[in-house]
Amino acid sequence: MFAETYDDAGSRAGYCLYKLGCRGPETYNSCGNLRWWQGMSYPIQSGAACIGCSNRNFWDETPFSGRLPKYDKLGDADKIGVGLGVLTAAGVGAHAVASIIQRNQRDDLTEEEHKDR
Amino acid sequence: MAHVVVDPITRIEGHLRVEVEVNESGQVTDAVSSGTAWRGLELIMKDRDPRDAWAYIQRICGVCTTAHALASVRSVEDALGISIPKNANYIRNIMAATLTVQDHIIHFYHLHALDWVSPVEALNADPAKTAELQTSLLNAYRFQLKVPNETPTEAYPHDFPGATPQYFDAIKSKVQAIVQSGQLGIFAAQWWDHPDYKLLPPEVHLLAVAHYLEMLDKQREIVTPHVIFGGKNPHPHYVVGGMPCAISLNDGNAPVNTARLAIVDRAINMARTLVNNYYIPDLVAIGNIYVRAGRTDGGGLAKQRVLAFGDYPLDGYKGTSSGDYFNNLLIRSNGVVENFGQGIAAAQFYELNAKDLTDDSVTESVQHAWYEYPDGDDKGKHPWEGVTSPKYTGPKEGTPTMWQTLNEGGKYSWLKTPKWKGKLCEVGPLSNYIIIYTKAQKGLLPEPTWAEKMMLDQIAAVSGVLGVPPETWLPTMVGRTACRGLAAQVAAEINKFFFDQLVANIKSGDVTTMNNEKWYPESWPRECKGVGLYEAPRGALSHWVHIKDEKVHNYQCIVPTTWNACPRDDKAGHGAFELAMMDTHVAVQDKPLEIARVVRSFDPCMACATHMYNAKGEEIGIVSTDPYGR
Repeated sequence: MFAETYDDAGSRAGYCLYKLGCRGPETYNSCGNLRWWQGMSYPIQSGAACIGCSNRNFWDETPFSGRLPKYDKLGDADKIGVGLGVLTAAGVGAHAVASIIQRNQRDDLTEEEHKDR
Repeated sequence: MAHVVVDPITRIEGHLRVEVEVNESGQVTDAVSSGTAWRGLELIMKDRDPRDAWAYIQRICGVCTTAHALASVRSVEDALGISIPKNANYIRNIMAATLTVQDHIIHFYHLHALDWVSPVEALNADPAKTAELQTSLLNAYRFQLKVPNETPTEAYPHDFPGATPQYFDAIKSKVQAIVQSGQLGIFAAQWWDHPDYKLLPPEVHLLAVAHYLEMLDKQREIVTPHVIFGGKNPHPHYVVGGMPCAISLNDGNAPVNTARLAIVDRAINMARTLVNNYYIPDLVAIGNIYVRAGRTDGGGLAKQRVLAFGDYPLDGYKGTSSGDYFNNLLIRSNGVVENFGQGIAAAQFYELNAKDLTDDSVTESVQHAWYEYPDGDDKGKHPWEGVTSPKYTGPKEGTPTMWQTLNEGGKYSWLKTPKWKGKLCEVGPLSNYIIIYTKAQKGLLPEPTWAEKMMLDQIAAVSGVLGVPPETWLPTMVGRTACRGLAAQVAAEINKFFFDQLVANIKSGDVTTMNNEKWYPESWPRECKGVGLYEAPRGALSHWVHIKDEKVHNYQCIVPTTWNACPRDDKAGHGAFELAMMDTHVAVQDKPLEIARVVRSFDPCMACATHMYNAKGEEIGIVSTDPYGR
C-alpha cells in the first residue's frame, strides 16, 4: 500500500507516500483531519508528500524527498517486513491505512506514536 | 516645494516607501521608491537539494505563492534537462492562470479600487439609478470575447451582478452603518475629501463598493484548482519533473479523478463570468470617465521601455536556456519595446530569446541598493553569478530605524536594480499588451494565436469606448490598471483552454503527470545552470539556479516588482515606479492620492521584492504592515 515513485500505480490509487519522503507520520497538525478549503484537500490527498511545514526545524530536515534511508526518524519502511522496530512499523502501517480512509482514528494513532517517542 | 512621504504605500503587505518632491504647480520633480525590508531567501537556498528549492522559495510570499514555485521547478528542470509530461504542463498552466485571475480581481477591487471610488460618495447614490446604471454597463461594456471551440460544461453563466434597487439599497445601508459607526475599518485611512472622488457620479461609487464586498467572498472560490492539484493554498505543492497529483479516473482515492476535475471546472467557469460580467464593465466605466477627463498621465517608463518573457507553453518543451521554451508559447510577448510613447512608427521591438538569457543581457547592479559587490557596486552581474551581500547604510536624515529622509544620492533600498542590456524596463500586463500590439502593428505576428488575437481585439474594443488610439491610453496609469483587467479576462479563458486540453488528453488514455527519469541525483551532471521564467500577475519573473555536486550552489530571483520598484542607476536613470510618479500630476500637495494610485497601478507586491531588514543586522525585527500608514 505504498507509492514507490510519483505517478506510479500506488500514487494513482492514493496509497501512502511514506517512501517518497512524506513527513505525515510525524507532523502534528490538523491538515489530515480538517483539510484545506472546507475539507476539499490537503497535500497528501493531492498526491504530494507532506514536508512537515509546521514542524520545528522542518526546513533543515532535508532533503524532503529523502526518507529512506537518508532521513530515518521513524525507520526504514523497506525493512519493516523483517521486524525492525515493531512499534515504528505499527505507527507507519496504521498511518498508511489512516491516510487512505481519512478517519478520526488518526488522532489516537499519532498520540500513541507521540508517546513512543 | 513640498516633500511628501507615503510609508507604507501597499494595502496588502507593507515594506514599500515612497518619497516625492512636489512643486507649487503639482509637478513631481523627484521621486524615491524604496523597498524597506530585507528578503535574503536566496542565501537560505545555498546547499539545499535542488528538488526542494520550490518549497523554500515559494515562501517568499503568501499571496502569489504558486508563482515562485513554478519558476523554481522550471529553473531546476532547465538545469537538469528534464521535460515534463503534457498533463503536468496543462495543470501548471491552469494553476498559473488561476493565480493571475484571482490576483487581478483582488488587486482591482480590494487593493486599488479605493484609489478611484469612495464609500463616502456612495452614500449619495440613488439605489434605483444604480440598478439602471448596472444594466446599462452590462449592455455597453461586456466584451464578448472567449476561447474558440470550447467544450461547454455549464448550461448558463452562474455569476451575474445584481441590478435591482433593493440590492443596492441593502449595500448602501451596510456602508452607511459603517460610516456612522465612526470606525471605517477596511475603508479607513484614505483622503476621502480629495477632489478626484467627485469625478465619478455617486452611482458608480455605490456599484463599485457593492462589487468590492461581493468579491471579498467570491475570490476565495477562484483558487480551488490550487487546492485540488497542489493540496492547498497558499503554498500548493509541486514536484521537479511534473506534478505530484496523479490521475486515475478509476479510483475514488486518486488525487485527481472526475469528481476532483468537476471542482476545477466550476472554479474556472466562475472566474470567467466574474471577469466578464463584473470586472471588465466596472473597469471600463471608471477608466472611460478618467480618460475623457484628460487623465492620461502616469505612464513613465512604459513610454520608453517595457519587457516581458511571454508564457503558457502549449505543450511540453525541452529547456529554457536552450530556447525551446520560446518555440510554442501561447502569448509570444518575449521581448522589449522601446519608445512606444512616441507613437507606433517610432516604437522598436527587440525579441528576447535564449541568447539573451545566457549572455550578459540580463543583469542586476547595486549602486543605490543596500548591498555590495566585490568588484564594484555599479557593475551588472548576471544572476547566475549573482551576489547577495548586505550593506545597510541608513537614511540621509533620521536614525537607522526611524527614517526622516532617504539618501537618494547613496544607497536607499533593499531592492537591486535589474537591467536589460544596461537599461531599465517596466514589466507587467501593460508591457505584454504594448509588446503584442507593437508586434502586430509591425507585421511581426502574421499568425496570432487565439490568445494574442483576443488581446488585440480587447485593445480595439477599449480604444473604441475611450475614443483615443492605443498609443494614447496604453502607457498611462489608467492603461496599466486596464491591462491588468484585460489580462484577467485572457487568463480566465486560458484556464478553460488548458482544462479542455487536459480532459481531452486524459480521455485519449494519457494520465502521465511525472517524468521520473532524472529524479535521482546520480543521473544529474556534476555542474549545471538553469533558468525558469513565468509571466506572473505582476510581470516577468525569473529564477536562476546554479547546481553543483547535487546541491544548489547559487540561487537568484529577479521578481517583477524588483524591475518596477528598483532604485535608480546613475547611468540608466530611474526605475518604473520613480518615473511613473514623476509623470503624475498632484492636485493637493499634502494629499498625494495620485501618487498612491499610480504606484498601486503596478500592484506592488513588496514581500517578493523586498527583504526583511534590521538596522544592526543582529535580529530580524517585525515590520509593521499597519494599513493606516502611521
